[in-house]
Amino acid sequence: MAVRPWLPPAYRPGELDHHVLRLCAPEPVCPPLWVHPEPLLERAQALDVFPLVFHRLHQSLRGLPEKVSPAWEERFRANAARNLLHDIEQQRLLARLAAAGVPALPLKGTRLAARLYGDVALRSQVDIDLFVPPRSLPAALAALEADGYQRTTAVGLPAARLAATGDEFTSGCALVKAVGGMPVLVEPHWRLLPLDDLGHEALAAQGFSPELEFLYLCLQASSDRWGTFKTLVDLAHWIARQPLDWERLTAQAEQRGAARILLVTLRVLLHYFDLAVPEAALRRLERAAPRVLPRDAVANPFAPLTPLSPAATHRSRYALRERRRDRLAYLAFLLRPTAADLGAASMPAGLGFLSWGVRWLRLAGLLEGSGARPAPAEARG
Amino acid sequence: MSPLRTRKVRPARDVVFRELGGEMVLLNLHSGVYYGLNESGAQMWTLLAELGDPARVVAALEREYAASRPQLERDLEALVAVLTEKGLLEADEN
Repeated sequence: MAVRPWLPPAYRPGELDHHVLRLCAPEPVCPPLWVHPEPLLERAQALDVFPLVFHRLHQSLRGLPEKVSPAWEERFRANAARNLLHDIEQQRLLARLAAAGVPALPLKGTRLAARLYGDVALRSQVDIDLFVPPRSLPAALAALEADGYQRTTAVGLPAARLAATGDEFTSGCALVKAVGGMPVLVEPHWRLLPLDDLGHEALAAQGFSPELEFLYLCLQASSDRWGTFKTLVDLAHWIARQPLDWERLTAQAEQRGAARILLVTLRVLLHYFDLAVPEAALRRLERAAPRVLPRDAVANPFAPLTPLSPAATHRSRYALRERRRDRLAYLAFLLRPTAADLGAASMPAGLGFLSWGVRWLRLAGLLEGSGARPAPAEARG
Repeated sequence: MSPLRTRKVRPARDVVFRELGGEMVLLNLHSGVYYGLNESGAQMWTLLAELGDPARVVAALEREYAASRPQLERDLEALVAVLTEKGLLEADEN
């Protein structure tokens, strides 16, 4: 008997969203002439894909009409300048961290923009995300703070204690510095949960393999319940432009218990984009299809992402784990103190273990709707 | 003689530039001032950064464009004035 493929909830884009979607596709299609570019650009801005849409409209045979506000061009240029700054600053920070003996890898950011779109100006970026191993976090924070960066979260928390925490998808620590009058936000990440070994492997290999980086992006998409349009566009461009070894990708996902996340990601992408995903890979991944996945585990990428309740968040994340041991690990993970728990009650270094009690008390509060780990919408890296 | 030909210029310290989004984006990392140049402006900037001497830049442009020398000098002078005012170019005293 043929197995019915698992399909995500189907959200239909509105008319304007449909044009934005087609403009952002790896093989773009320009909207008909009667579609005015102003509302299109506004919608692209709301969906966080304005630079790509502006550029593609500008480059199209149709071009951008004179009547389009010059503010859009200025906005595009401001994003290009900010990304240039991020790119330069990221290179400088990586050199600075290397000089301090801290192994670090950039995550997403301008490097991804250059790889996927061939131009760092075509993707919006709000911060610089860097992976550092937990053992190197104290040295990384010391180097960044010596460079003039100041923490905006986890202020005053000893770095060694911070390194012992972990949260899904969030950094738990952000630092900011004004560079040339522009604030630059840096987020060190020391855990890439639930695939914590990804970062360590990538560091050992001095970079992500295409398959591991694609899996990391799938993980990012799952953190926002596949409801962030920009991430879906990134993934679609990856499939279209970066050669993937599908056999290797599916095997890697299965080995790491991430086949379900990969399957949901591919099914969601295929719902919106015309992509060449081998049927054999999909069939193989179907074995990991969720029997029951709450409908709200996959969000509408064209609607504002509303945070789920803490209980619904954990239910979804639990349901995405396909192996029993990963589910148990997730439950154990829930009991671990977060940076927020450490910050909730300051304790002397020798009594740090009490933060576990704080965590459990807050978790007990979670049942009444408080003390939760951040819901996905608030947890974007 | 045009004042252009009498002084050399160079990108100001802390200025980075790269072709992005179809134009040359110049960014002063110290002041945060940024500027975008179209194709011809980008070529002028590249030549200024490489040659420094506006007279040599005009000579190079003359080989590329059909415009007259006085026109090229006026265009380059206008660009140098704007970029200098914005702190993206500075006089090269060496």
